Amino acid sequence: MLRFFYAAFLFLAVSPAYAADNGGYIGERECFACHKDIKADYAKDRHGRVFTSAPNGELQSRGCEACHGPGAEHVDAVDREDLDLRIQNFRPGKGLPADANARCLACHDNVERGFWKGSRHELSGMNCAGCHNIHAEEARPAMDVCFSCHQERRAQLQRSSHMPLREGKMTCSSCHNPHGGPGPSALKQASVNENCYACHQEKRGPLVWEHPPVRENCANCHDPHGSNYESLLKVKNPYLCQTCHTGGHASPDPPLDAGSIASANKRLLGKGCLNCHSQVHGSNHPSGARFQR
Amino acid sequence: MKRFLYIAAVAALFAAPADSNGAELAGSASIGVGVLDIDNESYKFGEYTGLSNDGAYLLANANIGRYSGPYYLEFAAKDIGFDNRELLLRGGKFGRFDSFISFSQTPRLISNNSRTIFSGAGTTVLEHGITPGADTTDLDLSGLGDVKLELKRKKTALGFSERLSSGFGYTLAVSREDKEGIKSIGGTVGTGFGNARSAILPEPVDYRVDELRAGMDWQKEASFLRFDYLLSKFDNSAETLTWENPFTAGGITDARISLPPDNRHQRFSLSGGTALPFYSTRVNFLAEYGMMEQDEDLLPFSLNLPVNDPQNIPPRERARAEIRTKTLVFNAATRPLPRLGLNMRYRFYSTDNRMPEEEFTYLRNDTTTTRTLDSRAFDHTSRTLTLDGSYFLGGATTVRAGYDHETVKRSHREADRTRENTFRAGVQSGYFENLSLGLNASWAERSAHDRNDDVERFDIADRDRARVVASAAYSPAASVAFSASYSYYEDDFDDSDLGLQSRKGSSYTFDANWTPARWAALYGFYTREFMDALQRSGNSGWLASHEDTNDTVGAGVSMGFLEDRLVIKTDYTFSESRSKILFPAGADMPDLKTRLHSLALTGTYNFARNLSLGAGYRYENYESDDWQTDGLEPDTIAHVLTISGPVEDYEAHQALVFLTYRFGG
Repeated sequence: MLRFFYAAFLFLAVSPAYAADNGGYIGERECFACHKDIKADYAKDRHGRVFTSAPNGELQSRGCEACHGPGAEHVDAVDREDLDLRIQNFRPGKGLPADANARCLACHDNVERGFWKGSRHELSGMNCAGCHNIHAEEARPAMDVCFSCHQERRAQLQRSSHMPLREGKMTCSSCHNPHGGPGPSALKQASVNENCYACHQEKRGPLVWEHPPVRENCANCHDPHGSNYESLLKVKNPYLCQTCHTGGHASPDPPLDAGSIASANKRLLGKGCLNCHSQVHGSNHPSGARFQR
Repeated sequence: MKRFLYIAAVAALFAAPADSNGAELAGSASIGVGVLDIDNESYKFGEYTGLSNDGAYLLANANIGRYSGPYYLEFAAKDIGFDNRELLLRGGKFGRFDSFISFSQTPRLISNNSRTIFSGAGTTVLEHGITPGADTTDLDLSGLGDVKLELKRKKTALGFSERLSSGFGYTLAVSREDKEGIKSIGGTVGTGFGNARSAILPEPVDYRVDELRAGMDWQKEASFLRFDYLLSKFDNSAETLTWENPFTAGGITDARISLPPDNRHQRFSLSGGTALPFYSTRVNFLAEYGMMEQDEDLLPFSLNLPVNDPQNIPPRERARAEIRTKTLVFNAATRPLPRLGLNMRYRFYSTDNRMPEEEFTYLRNDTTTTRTLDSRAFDHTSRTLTLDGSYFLGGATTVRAGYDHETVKRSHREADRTRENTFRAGVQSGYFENLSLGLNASWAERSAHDRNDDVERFDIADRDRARVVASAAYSPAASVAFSASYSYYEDDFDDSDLGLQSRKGSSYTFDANWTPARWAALYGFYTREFMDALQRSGNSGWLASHEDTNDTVGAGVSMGFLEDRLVIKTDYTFSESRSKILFPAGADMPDLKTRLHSLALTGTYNFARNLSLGAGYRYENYESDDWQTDGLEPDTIAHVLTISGPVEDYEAHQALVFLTYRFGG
């Protein structure tokens, strides 16, 4: 019994000093003594698996404290029932977002997040934990995360003409890097067109006869987030073409209005202008100057 | 490939008992049966899933991982019974190396009510057995044959990456994607002299894309340097399409159209970044050099002239089309005060079009040279300077402001240069308890310089642009959340006499989420969007106004019973769009409409420790009105022989039952 009291005395005397000597780190076991609900999730989430089985460096070997910071002061604060629990809990709205994000960037400040600093999301004060659920075994559906702020995009995807996002073949991050990218609108590629060419290589050309607004920016004519018109067009063909090509085929050139439906106008029905000018993305045919071949 | 992946995955995952050597199996796998009942068998329902016929189909999904210390092996299978199936097998050691092999298939159903007079659909030569006529009304179309317009992509990829302890790493990935099927394309004959006639043709698609991506990097603490290489090779096995002319105008018997030529793209990228030892400063850069090349043999001008006729010989034998791209992005972010963030970015992007600019004969009616046209090597170069600042006021409130200056130089366009200045400001606040607010606005002015032509194309015309986005989220209790957002945009082309005059739009959204108990959650949302565009065109300067209205409503409930052993979820979405095209001095077009009701109901019952039984029901109802295709028969247009009818309305019911096994705890 006497031995037990000696041991208990030594533990109580030494443990605060040990924590202080150890930079305030207390170890995962201490964390899980209280945070039992996290333990099971942590064992299965990617961070837990890496920190436990293959830590890359001293920081990662700290387990919970690699991200949340040294826990000794937190334990004291809990004991004192302080309002400030003196731990990084990543809750949005508490403290500087940059401070919380710095914890993540300690490991993740690499190529994929090279343009995070200075990105629109970072400058808006977004917190990594605002999108990422670190302890979940399965990540939140990627698009749900985006739609929590970009709500109009959720509605746009319901439109008749859409890319296969609703069907799960693409996500927002198929085109965008939410951590910031080299292209406009945080696109993954350096330009809008190079982004589109990643899947539509047949449009890449180059071609003998090029259509300049097509070569410069696919989004001049297409709305990639969804449209009421075929092929994600911004306005219905032939009116879309007529936003630039104002000269008409004949003089006078009346509008293609409802009367043109009754007369089955070849420039209106079916494929509209594309009935004849089918190569609007450019032509490689020597006779393709007018995009008909 | 699919079979290999299935076998490899199963063998690898179950090669050793899960609990031997401390290995652990986690995840779940489901298998089941679905039944579809759809009227009209419309291709719109299964546009990207491939489901279009009544009947039963297999359901199988899996997401399984085997973990042994730092080693992992993961297998994912999705929608195995559908044409949009995906398979992924990934293995490696955390933080050290990773390898994967994957297969993905994506269908695109376009039309199953298309009819054509041509035989040979899917090949590069189309023939018909009818007597040519002056117009479609003169053609005997009694022998029209059905043709399904649909495409399918199949992509296989594999890759390996390794991170060495010295901070060096490399990645290597290769992929092959085949895209096959039939779509449609307009084939024109008799261009000029009022002879133009067109037949919409079944276009064969037989593409193959091979890609190689390789990268090497070094990273240490907050610095990295990376080199990437991309080689993308596009091969088209059907580069031309020849068809027998069904019309007599111009006296052309056969014609040929070009299809996408083979091309190659290479890109070299160097990127890097480092943290500087003051004010939490970070600098990053990206430099890229790309080469897009296409050098296919050029076709003769016409099939209707002798090959050796001088006016049938193109000015050069091969396309010699080549565009070099250059990208430079430099970014510097600093935080001179803990609350103040500043960012400067410079972006340069240019295309250098090296294709020879030459004079080409313009052959009208496939036989007659009336003039020549020069092919142009269009280039553009953009330079963008972006400055941003944000300040954290405290109380979870951040204000920010920014400025962009962009100059774009273009060759052979109506104006050599455009300049655009953009100013923006915003605030994001969580100052009030349970309430967060956001407001962002921007205003931009673009002007064209060094004009070569009075024509105002909207992509380079003078433009004023305004944007406003406002949002609010309120959570009066932990179980309740409301949010609302509003956005407005306006592009004004005040100085354009013709073409696009303005385009503006707005949207607002309301969201509500309620979790009345641990076992129940409800949500609902409503979004209304408007778009209004005005254009002036034609020699007579007619005016047209486009007015789009879109309403989208969604609601759902998730409830758990019997201590979450029984979980029931339902989601409903309704979307309706109405588009008006109005002519102040003409007859307004009929409204364009689409409506989609979508209801999904699923229930799962966890009847044993790791086993659950699920059942689901899905309902979709789609309607559309489109004057461009509704009621369109192949001979409706006198000078165009069409191929497809309208997108079919449909009502679809799906029922499914499935069994799920959950691995591990």
